[in-house]
Amino acid sequence: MNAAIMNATTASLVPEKLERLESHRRPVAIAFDQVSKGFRSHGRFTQALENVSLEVRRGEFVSLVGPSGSGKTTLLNLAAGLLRPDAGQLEYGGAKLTGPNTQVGYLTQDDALLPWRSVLANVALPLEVRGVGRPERLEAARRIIARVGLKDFEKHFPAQLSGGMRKRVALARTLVYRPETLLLDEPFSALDAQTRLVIQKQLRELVSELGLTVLLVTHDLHEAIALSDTIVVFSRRPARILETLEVPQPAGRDILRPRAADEQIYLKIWDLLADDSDLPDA
Amino acid sequence: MSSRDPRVPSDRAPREGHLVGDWLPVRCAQIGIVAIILCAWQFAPAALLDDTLTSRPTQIAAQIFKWLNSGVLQQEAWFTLSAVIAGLLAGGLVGIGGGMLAGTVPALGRLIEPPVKFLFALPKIAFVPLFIVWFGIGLSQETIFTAMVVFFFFFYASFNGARSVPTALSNMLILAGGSRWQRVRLLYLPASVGWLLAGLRLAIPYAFVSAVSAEVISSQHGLGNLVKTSASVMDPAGMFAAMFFLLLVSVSVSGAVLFLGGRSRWSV
Repeated sequence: MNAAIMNATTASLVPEKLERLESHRRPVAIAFDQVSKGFRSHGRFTQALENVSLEVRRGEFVSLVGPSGSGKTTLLNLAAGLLRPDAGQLEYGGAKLTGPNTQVGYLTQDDALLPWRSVLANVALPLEVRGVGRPERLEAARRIIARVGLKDFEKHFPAQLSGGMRKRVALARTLVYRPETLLLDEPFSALDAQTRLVIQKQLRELVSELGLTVLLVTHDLHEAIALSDTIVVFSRRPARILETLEVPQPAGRDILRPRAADEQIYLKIWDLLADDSDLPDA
Repeated sequence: MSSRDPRVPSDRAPREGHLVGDWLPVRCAQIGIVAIILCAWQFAPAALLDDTLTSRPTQIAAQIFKWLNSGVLQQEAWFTLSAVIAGLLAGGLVGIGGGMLAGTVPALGRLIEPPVKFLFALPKIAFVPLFIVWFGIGLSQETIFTAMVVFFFFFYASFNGARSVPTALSNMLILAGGSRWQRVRLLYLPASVGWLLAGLRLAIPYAFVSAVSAEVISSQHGLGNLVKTSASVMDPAGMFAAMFFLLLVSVSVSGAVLFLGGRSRWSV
């Protein structure tokens, strides 16, 4: 394949270029305003989120960190429109969210691939659901599969792939319908350290290239620091926001190479989480 | 034996009883046992086995050939088979539809499942006299009874199949913009195929049992009727001939269907 065609295929993946605005002047993508959510199970009521207010701007990469079970996944499910808030307002793209949010792609720890479909058919599935014709959807699926580096595995079935490859198939399937926003719920926690680094790098590149807004839930502080523009630290349940930290991400930065400033942020988050926990000081 | 046999594809465990070393002696032993039983039956002294009650294998074979020549067996088997096929289709359609509804709409599942469980526990054969009053004797009564018996296997297969689908998969389709029907067609139904094959494995023999039971209770056709009329005129050769042919048809149908659905990737 010659360079001109390569350029053409990559360029056609990019939606309208997000203008290089100062981050605080970009439009708001997701806005949580005093949102509360609880669940009733086995007759007991658990408050997952309490009065959480959070604004995510377009093109921003936001990581949510905090103790297990602190309602971070609930926050993603709310942003996806899979749950409704008990109290408070939730807006997406300036409008109140009333049902499943089809502008988002959702990637969890579970690959959620269909075992009876090939890689190509799995990736093309969201377009099939949206009524895109067969030649067009296969073409789009092939392009994004090549972009995540699985060109030679189109005809393979999920059971024949490694965990890292399945994750990339899931990522390709999420991106194939060009969502504005990615919701990522500990997507890489089951992968080995090396594979995780490679996929994180690939994700960061795709996010910049496609101008995606990202909400990432993670327990890996290094992952949060390496990838995000903003890190939101949550308290124990019911989750409140303890602090919001800006992470400077100069253009062209290699996420695989940590910087001295990262250590400061790491320690700051760790102190916040330790203050919030019941654990006695070591 | 090494931990991974290169002849076995990695994602498939070797099937029990199909190891090359085991197969031949097991089959030989099975054939030997059947041969011994047939010989004992054939050559037992009249003091032990009364011909007029038990007949002899050669007489049964002669009866089978006589009926095959006259076409009686084929005609009666076809009648029974029609009831079985129609019953499986009707029971399968209603069962899969009901199971999918109950498995994908939680509120509906809570509403439907308890009464289904209740009816499943009821001996369905008790309905045959009622069905005879409602539908008369004949193919429709037999088909409806068979459908009613096999319904439960298909209902539970698709109900459990749909409920076994991980939430992450259905959420993925919801966010991709999939309608309820698309989720059933692209996700819940294919995910239930493994369950449905397991259900079918049970449903086919039960379909034959039901159709023949209905025929034995009251019918003028079918292999069940042939067994009953032979027994009532003290013709054990005819009775065994009909039973043997029934066995042959039932086993071939099960074998053919399961062979077709045998290799499948369709489960989550």
